[in-house]
Amino acid sequence: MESPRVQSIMPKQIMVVDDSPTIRSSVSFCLRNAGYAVAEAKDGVDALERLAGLKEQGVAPVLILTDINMPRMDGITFIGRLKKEPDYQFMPILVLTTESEHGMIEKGRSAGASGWIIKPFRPEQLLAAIKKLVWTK
Amino acid sequence: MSEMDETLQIFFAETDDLLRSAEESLLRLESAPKPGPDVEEIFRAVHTLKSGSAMVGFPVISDYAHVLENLLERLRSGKLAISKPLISFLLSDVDFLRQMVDRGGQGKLEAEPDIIKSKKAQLNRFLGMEAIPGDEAKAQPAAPPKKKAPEKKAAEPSAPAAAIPAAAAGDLAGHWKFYQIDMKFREDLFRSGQDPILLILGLSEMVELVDVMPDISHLPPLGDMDPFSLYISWRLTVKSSASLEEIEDVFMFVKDDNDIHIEDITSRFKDGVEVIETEKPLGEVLLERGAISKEDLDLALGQQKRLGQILVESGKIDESTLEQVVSRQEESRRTYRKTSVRVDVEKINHLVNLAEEIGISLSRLRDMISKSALAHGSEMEQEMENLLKVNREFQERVSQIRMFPLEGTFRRFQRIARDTAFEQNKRIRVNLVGLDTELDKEVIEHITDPLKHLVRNSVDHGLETPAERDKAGKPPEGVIEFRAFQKGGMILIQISDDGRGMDVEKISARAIELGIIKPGQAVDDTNLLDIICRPGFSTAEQVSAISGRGVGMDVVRTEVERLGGTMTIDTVRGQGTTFTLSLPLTFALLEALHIKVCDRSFLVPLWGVAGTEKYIPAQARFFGAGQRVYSFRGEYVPLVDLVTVFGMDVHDQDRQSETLVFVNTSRQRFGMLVDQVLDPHQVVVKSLESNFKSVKGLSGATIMGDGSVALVMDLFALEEMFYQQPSRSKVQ
Repeated sequence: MESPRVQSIMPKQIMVVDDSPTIRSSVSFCLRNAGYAVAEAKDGVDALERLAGLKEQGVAPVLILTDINMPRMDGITFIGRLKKEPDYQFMPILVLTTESEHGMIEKGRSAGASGWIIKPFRPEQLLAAIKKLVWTK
Repeated sequence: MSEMDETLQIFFAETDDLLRSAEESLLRLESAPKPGPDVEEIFRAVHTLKSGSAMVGFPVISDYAHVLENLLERLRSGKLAISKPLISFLLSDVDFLRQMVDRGGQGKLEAEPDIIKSKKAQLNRFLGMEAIPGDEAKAQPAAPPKKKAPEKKAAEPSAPAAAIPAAAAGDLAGHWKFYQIDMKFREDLFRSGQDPILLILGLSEMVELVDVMPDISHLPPLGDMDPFSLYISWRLTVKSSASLEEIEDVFMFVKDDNDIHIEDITSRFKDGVEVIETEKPLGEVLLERGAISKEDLDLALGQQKRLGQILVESGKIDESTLEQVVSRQEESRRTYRKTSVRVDVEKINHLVNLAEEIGISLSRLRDMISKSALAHGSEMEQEMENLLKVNREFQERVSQIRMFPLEGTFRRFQRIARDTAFEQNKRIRVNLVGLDTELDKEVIEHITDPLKHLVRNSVDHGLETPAERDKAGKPPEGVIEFRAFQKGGMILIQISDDGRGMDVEKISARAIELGIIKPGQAVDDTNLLDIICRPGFSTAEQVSAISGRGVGMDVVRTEVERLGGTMTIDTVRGQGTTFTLSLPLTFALLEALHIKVCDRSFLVPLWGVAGTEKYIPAQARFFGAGQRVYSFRGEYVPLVDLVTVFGMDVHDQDRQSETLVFVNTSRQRFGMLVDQVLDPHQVVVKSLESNFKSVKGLSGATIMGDGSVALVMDLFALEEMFYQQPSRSKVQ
């Protein structure tokens, strides 16, 4: 796992998990602009693999943004899996959802998500939500 | 920019894939019309397209996809049968979506409003086929994204407070509100990735934390403590101009499964002082709120035992130890009470007024006594003088109650300067000088926000980056200095930076462009402030070197002048900028010299008086159009003729002006020829504006001990009137 010291020098990393390349790209664009490093994953399975890869390099994201409706492993299952791992049990997780996905915020939260953001969102909305969960200073 | 283009390219490629797979699924459905993976696939494609198109800025596509999604949802849940006409309609919709994306890609509107309308009408017909009445509403285009979750019911917070609109941001005089925030969290809060400290930090960006009270009563013994659990709850008292909803927004992610209670308690505060029940016993508060009855309270109190009593009874301590401790405790409480009380500022103001009234009566009495030959040199007169002296001290002491050291304010500026510098990767050292300088609390409150502007501006636009500083041969670390000191009856607050200074040439060019000054007219320290304090002056990009200097500068200046203060600026290109705010020590009292000109009483603020001298006409020198200068302490200073300045209807030759009063406003020096110099007085200035009308050169009037009215001079205005072209400080 990363040590706090390393983290303060290197840009903080945020993982974006979404099956839509458009969403991944626009979210990454916004996060990179705000000074974060970004790791992208296209579904829950991919995300777990990426996290394992990052762990080998001794890093972990400070926050994970995840979509709900994804092939192979959906967001709810993914969050549930993360929360069972000691390394990630305190990881802040933001659920990416839409107005029409009723009940997803509640489901996300019972699975262990920290918050949510509704697509589409403006960069400042995304950053404001992140700020509620990540030390920015 | 290019990365955003990249996102667009990705969007086009993804849409292409999505629509192709939707098409294939539709074709498969046509041959085998039954719900299953194919319907799921179409649904997923449209759903993904909906979010994606909204994110990259094609709202019309997103809108349409949303309505389509509703239709597909019913198909998916079996509420709508799969039919041939429906499939061909959906196929045409796929083409339509593709068309819209193509048009969007060419920079055109995604679709003509008419076409969209007819398409939606068709869609709604399909939706309406088996639609449950009232479901139509859901088929409306997506509402603009809200911050709140759709399944959250409308904000339930106490309606009256929520209904109050957010106080106008940036209104310096702002309508402050006070909130009490109780935060009780689930023990396993950390496991949901939350951190209460971040909430408090986030909150502190929009509020001033008045009080933070952690409740650690639920902390278990160390041995039983789970380090990953949260046992602490908090009660915060905050001051802010934000609305209840804005405050609630900070707690968006935690308020549903934690116990967060926010209450508007503005009514319990007055002038920033809490006048409430925090120090009342709990029983009384509960009683007032109607939570318990008087009987309940008495019963409970009757059962209550004091801690000491319990300990003695259980044999843990003996009675003499208890008595010893209790008496020491009481002694210390008495001392504590002596050191601080909270008082309503109104009460102090009342005292100030009364002291002033006594002063006026005493002065009048003294005049009467001195006029009666009988009392001259008598004990009565001596006693009178004594009384006046005591009263003067009384007045001063009463005003002092309102005085507070500037340390707290400066510390906050230090923090702001540090944070601003940090955000911009600038290195900074902050010097604080004169922390114990005291200023009227009311003045401090009014001046804090304007000063914040100046601090941010100094760091933001004054200081250079380490690289720029290095190039300019300066140490990498910029220095910001906050200095406060008393000078005469004024408190001066200076904010200096050793940054790049202002580019007077650029400012000049821009000022000419905007018609603030005439071509050929020079910009110097005199009119520089006027220029940059023009509302919106620096918003123009052309003056990038000073951009932002003007943001709020007009507001800053107005606020300072409203307090009876002045602001000056001193900037040297490449060396830095200093803002100096000159503020009255207090609103309450003014020390002034009583003079008479043509039998009229004037009061000259004593802080500006440099000295008085007998007028020797031979020492005056004439130059220019009847201007006179006079040698005062080895320096020639101009003489101001009050008769001319105030347009008094008297001829020079009628006067026997024999005395000169020299004035130093710290910007200019000048002498005034007066007929008579009387005693200095401590007076309360009444505004002319509110009683009569504003008169240039006069700041107000007061009633003298003998009941006559004296006019109080506004030295800065006087100097401006005399010099015609306002001159504020030496021109570089």
